[in-house]
Amino acid sequence: MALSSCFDLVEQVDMKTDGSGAIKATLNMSKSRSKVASLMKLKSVNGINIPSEATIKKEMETAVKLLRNTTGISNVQYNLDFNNYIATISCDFQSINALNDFTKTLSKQFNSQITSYNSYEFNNNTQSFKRNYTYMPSIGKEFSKLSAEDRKIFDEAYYTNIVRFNSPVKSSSHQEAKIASNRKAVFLKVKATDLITGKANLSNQITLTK
Amino acid sequence: MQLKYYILLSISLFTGLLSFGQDLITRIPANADLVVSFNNPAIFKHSTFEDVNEMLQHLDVFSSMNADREIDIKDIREIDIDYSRNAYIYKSSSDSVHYIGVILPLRKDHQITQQIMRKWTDLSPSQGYQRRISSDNKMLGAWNDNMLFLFFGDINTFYFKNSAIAERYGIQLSAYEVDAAYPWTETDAYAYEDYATADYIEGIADSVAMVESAVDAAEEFYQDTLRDSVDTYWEGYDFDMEVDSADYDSDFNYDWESTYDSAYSDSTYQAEQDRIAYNKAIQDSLFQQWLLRDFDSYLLPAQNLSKNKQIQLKGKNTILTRVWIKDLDDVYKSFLPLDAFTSSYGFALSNLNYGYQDAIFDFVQDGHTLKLSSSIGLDKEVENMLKSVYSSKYNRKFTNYVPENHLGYMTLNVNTEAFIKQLPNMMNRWYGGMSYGILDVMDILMTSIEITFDEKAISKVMRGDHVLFVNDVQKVTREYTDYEYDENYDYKVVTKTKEEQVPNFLWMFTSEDQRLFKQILNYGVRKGECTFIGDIYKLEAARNTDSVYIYFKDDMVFVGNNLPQIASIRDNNFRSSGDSKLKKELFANTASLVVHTQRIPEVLRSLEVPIIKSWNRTVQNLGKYGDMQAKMQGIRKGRISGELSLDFPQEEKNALGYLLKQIKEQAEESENR
Repeated sequence: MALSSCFDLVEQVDMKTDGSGAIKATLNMSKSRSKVASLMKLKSVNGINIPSEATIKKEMETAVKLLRNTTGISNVQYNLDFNNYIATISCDFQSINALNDFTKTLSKQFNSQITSYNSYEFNNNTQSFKRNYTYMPSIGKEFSKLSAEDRKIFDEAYYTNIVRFNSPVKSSSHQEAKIASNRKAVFLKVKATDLITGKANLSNQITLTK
Repeated sequence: MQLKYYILLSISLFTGLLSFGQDLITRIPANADLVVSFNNPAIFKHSTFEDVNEMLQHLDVFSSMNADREIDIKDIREIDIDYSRNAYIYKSSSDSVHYIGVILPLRKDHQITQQIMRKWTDLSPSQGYQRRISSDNKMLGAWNDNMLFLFFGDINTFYFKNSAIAERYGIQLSAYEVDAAYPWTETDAYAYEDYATADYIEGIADSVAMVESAVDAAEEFYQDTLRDSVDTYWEGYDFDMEVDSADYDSDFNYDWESTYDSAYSDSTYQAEQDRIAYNKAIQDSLFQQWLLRDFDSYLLPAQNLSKNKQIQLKGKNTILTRVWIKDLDDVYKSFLPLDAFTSSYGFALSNLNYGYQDAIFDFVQDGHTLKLSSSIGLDKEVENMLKSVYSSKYNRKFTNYVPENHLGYMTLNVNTEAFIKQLPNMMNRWYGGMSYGILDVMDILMTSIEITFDEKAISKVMRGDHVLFVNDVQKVTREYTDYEYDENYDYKVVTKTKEEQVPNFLWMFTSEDQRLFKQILNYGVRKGECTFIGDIYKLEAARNTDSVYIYFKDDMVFVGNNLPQIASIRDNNFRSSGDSKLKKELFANTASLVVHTQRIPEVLRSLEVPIIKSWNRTVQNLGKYGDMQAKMQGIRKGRISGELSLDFPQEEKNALGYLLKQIKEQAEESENR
């Protein structure tokens, strides 16, 4: 594919002191909507299947249904905006385990292996929030199989993670992560290509003020 | 097996050695309804043995033929066909059977039997020709020093679905087929008459002697005594030929066992399979008898098509191949499921009559351009109807609005008034005869159209002449959603803009009475669906599209998505192309589509359109091509004609050379993949 493109995946987690909270994930491809619209007219490009609007809707509805039946998950909301190509999904979780279940459900539904390299921990006693992340070389291997032109799609793509807390953040172990002025949020933005190739790591240990 | 001979024939098209002999057009029987003429001298003038050999090698044609050990060649020059003379394929049909004849000129002292008929069985010579029959008894060959004639075909199975004919030949019809044979319950006589053609009567008279042996053969076959039945059949029919019956059983291989090995044990299913196999055995047997019976008369036809100027290619050096069809309507109908439609819906599709008569399709090499041109004869009634529809002229003022840079254009010119006037006649003529029940309804419908529509008034709203240009790409500003974060990383959704390239178009047509359009647009303005600024209507953009602008000027309507272009028409400062050839070409055809192929890669790049990897090379190559054109030239001298053409890159000596090279390279690419 002879095109450069960009998209943003923004993940926002609002943690409460008891370990419950809310998560909202947004995939925004509006900046590339003309190209996405062109791509979606094709069934497959260079061996990569392009899902139709109907398929995406169906898959999302199934995922939402599963999430609504997941213990500890509530208030599941989603929106698919095919005018601007923005997809959002959000829910409340009762515990950090439920948050991991949320990831697990989406991982299973969309045939990815997120849970094998990504999980969250929250220690109520020490008031520490931990994200465990292990780089999966298989992703990089698959990526390297793409042509240089196809890889350009990811040049301007970013992953943004914002974790908010009720208590002030004492410290954050990730060197690239930024702590908000009010110290109640940690912000991390990395290039998608750095994640895919293993240059970036998302592991972070955030300690809150008791 | 027949496929091999098609391939062989294809090979013959691409090679040539000088030799002398008469044109074999006299061997095409007068009753041929389709003839393909291969202008070998012209083909060889434009290509080389090396090119063709290389291409065939890459396409594995030689090795696949050698694998069966029927043809053992590595070079097309190893086949003793005289490619300095034309070759022909024809098809002739009757109610009961259709035959295909392949006429190939041979070199002097040829060894053709060693090359393509080695496994065939000798028959006795006839009329100065040596003869052989294929091992499956379905193809015959005859040759002398000058030519090779291959003769094969097939039964028309629907012929046997008439119960009178089925009974005569011992065919067992199913209940469904018996019904299908008499679809016109109130007009059985009509159905009978339809089949009581000269061909039918003659067919029955000729075949009576064959029926008994055919039925015998089927019954024997049914008893799984195939060898005996074939022997009986050949012994029972005196062809006065030397035939070794032992050669016939090897490929007479209906897969009887596997049919019965199926998991189905249902007795009805079993009975149906029995019936099908029984009928097939009779039909195969009859076909083989008819093929042998008719072979000689087709070898040296008493009357031929040599006087038919439409088939002759002498002196036509640019035409590589010509396909001539005696009656296009008949060919069209032969592809329709006549029996199913007739029995299921009561539509007598056999009465469908578009008024198409003979047709000629030429594959033309003209320098670096390859063309596929067509010319179809029309009957007088249809000619008169269509002539008026295609008679009007384009609005000449369109020439003032030809964009300088465009990727392609499309034109269409039909006379709306004549079209509406002729519509009832056309519908009645084309479809009226298809169903007796629906004919009255059709009449009422057509009369309603005549009364309801004022064709003159409608033609004033839209005369019928249209020109559409796909312009150059233009920069447009697109909005997109982004996020801005404050110092506490709370984010807000913001709308930003970016520039993108999009193609734009300009469509123009003549409208002397524009009131209807304006009323609709004004209604849209009131409803907020469009705006009216500076005499230009703007239709608001729908999802992922651009706004469309409409402007009325004199007796023309302009529609486009490039506001500055529409505004320049309004302001009388539109810069029209000065290309007089283009302007002349624009109005030369009733309908046309022209794409400036060489601009496609650049446009796709600027639009960032995704290109599938396997298309990369093809798309890049398009930059070297010229125009791709499709044209319909309207009615002239009772014929309607059209042409598809493509200007190839000027890298090889001509278009055919380039095409062969491309086929070869594509084959190499596939091998390496």
